[in-house]
Amino acid sequence: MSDNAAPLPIHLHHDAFGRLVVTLANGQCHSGVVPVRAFPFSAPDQWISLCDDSGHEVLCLTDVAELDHETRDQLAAELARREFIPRILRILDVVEGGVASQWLVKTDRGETSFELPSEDNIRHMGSDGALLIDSHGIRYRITSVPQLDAHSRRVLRRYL
Amino acid sequence: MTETDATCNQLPEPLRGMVQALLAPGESLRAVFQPDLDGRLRYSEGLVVLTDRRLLAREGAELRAWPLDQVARLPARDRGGLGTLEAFGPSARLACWYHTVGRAGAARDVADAFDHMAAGHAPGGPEQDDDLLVPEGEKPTAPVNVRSLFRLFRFARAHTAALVLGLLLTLGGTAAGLVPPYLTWPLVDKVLEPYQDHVKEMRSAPTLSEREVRSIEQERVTGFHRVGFYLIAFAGASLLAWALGWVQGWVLAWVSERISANLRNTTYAHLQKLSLDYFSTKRTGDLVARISNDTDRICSFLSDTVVDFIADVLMIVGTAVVLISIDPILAAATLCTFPIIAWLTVHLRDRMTHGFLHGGRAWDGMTSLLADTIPGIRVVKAFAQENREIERFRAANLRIIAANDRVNRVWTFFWPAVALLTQIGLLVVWVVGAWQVFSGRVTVGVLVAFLAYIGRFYTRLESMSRMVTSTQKAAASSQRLFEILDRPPGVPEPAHPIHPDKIHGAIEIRNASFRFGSRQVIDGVSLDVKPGEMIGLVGTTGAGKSTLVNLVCRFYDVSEGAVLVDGTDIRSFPIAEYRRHIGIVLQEPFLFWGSIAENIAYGKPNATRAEIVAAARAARAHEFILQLSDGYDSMVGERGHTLSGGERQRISIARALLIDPSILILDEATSSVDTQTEREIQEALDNLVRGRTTIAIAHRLSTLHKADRLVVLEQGRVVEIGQHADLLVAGGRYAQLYQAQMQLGQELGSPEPPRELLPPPPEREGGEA
Repeated sequence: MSDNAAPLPIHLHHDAFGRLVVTLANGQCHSGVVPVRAFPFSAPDQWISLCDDSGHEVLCLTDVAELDHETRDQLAAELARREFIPRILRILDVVEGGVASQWLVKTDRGETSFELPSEDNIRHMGSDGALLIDSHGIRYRITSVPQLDAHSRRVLRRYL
Repeated sequence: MTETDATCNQLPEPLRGMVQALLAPGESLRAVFQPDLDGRLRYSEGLVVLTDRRLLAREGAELRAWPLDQVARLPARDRGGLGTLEAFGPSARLACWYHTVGRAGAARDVADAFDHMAAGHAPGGPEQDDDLLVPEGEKPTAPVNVRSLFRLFRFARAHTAALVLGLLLTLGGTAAGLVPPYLTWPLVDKVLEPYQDHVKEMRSAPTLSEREVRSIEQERVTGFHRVGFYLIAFAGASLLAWALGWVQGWVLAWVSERISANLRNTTYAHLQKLSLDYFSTKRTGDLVARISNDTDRICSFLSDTVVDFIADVLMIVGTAVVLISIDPILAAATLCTFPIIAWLTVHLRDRMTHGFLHGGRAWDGMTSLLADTIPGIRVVKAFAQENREIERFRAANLRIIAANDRVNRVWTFFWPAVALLTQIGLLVVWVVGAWQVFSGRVTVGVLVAFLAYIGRFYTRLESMSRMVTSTQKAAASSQRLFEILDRPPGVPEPAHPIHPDKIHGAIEIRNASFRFGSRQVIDGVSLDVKPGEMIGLVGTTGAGKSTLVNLVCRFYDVSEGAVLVDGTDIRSFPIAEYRRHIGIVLQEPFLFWGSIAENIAYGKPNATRAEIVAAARAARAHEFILQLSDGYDSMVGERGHTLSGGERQRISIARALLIDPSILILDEATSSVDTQTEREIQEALDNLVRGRTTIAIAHRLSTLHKADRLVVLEQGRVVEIGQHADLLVAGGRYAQLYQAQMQLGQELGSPEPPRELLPPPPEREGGEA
């Protein structure tokens, strides 16, 4: 299956209702599929599953590299539309108040503030990344803690 | 006769004599049992001896004997901590002996030996029954003493060099510390005093020659130089002592940190190897406290106390030597309170250790309470027992207060008492010293030096007495750690291991018996399981189903008989290698703190993502995992709170699938879920079972419809083996159980259709994998 030479003969496009339609190698069509990353943190570009409305898996892509360019771009665009995980670029301020803390951060989607309910809601992700989950369940990622500025690192050291 | 000797020789000494005195010539001993309660259930030592001819009993001074042909039955029972051994004649009860549960094993041995003989077996005697001689639970706990601290050296051996270095530095520091006060003596007597005398002389003589004036000037200049010399030496010695003390402190702290880490690792590793029954008798909080608190105490003891103690002892001995060499009488005065302090220390030490041990136990009680109620918080809340739990916690805290108050009373008395004694010592030195100076036996310089030493001497003595506390605490802690470490692993590693390459999964249980404490849980079970066969274990609660699979997993070792896999006794496989071939799905799936992927790969940490996904797919877990916000990277807690019971169970099935075991144990894998979820799990289980030897336990008989054979257990014995339909026709125990369940299902209007059960189970070729 993982033959890089020939791209997988599957095709993705949006129909008139804006739903994602996948055409499989055998010519079968499934509309309204949703791409889901099985390992969003540990292997974001592998194991992407296409599920139908009821959550049944239609197709599992072991590696996006196996797709042709057009399909890959379609997939990436669809994933970007569905995923909301802001990436924290800089921590501007943290106000501690008892257990919960208020965070003011600059992300790749702009500045925002959120409440971190407890220290358990921040954890290591991979070798030097981190994941924060705010009180509404929104997740924020830090790709690499060592690459942040000194102030942000100092703040994080208290929590990680 | 030889057995008699062998059995007799195993007995501890006073008992051996007693038993031998009872035996007639040529009479052979079968079993000995010492009941520890009398007819009114008061503690009293008795003796029951079974020989090949007679049953003998001694109660107090009275000796009774029955020829064996008068004894019809000799059953042993125990219940709720109290056991009885009864001797019945053909028409009446001959005697009854009572004992506490600790001796139940021995009582049972007597009963077994009797049954053996009654059944006409060759005299077997109580072979290998060590517990007959030393009843379980009776092994005396070692008294608290500091000796357990010396055993810590085992963990220090790796750092001997650093320890010796630390000790040398201590010696050097101590020696350097002794110099400054010593210098005060010549400073006063050889420099300051003579100069003062000269000045006095000069003032008393009105006229002085030029030469005399010059000599005094000269004296003054050299005096200054000497003062300079002494003070520089003084400062130098102090600096040296400080530097050595610093390095020494650092070296020893470094070592102690490593020793205590080593201690923690060793204890934890040992704990992991202990058999399951150890954990079922211990409370989690207690074990957690031992590994965290007690090692910490030992660490601080090793880094602070031991070093201080050695330094103090050296300082005290050194000071004493210097003092005696300067002036024996003053030295005697200085040391006069020392014996009192020593006596006080020894006297109070034991009381303190016991106090600290009590305190430690009270502390365990509190941590155990926490470890109990925090995981059980749902039950607490559901029954609205928060206030009662708060009350329980408060009570546990009160016990800590009470235990600590007791020991605090002792040591709070102790320290001021030592301080008072040091003051008295100082007073005595002043009195004796002043008298000595007046009577011209010593110079002022000697007295000053003495007073300088004595300050150090007593601060050292005081700090040493303070050490008693932390020493006793550390002794209590190390004793609690060694309590774990001294416990032999429940299932020992084989001396000559056989390494299994591939296990086909043929299981043979050969006349296996297992005794849990005094309870016979498995009683002579024999069972042959072909590779790939699925066996359903059926029976009421407490019939021994779980114990039997625990024996197959080798969580316990059989008391008698053997469990063979592929024809080899499982005791000759290395434990870890053997268990690698066994997959277990439990009633309560336990998920560790970590991601779902990590949990699935628990038994095979290096599994690829493809393997993890494949296992999850086969376990019907893949799709629900994809629905979670972080997919396989979702974190699940201790008890997997965010997942439902069925989901957790499917993850644990995926975990078992991933290691691709040849033997599979399903211990009530579907009991904790509803029928609908059970259906989903059942599909996953069917995937799991395929081609593996499976032993499944289930209360709900419908879950066993795919079993090739059903084995019905009752009170640790196999009562029926066969297929579902045959057993129903036979109308035995299984049929009863099945009818009862069907009836219950109908009464409750259960939607569970009996269709799975009514047709005979699908044909499966048992021998093929």
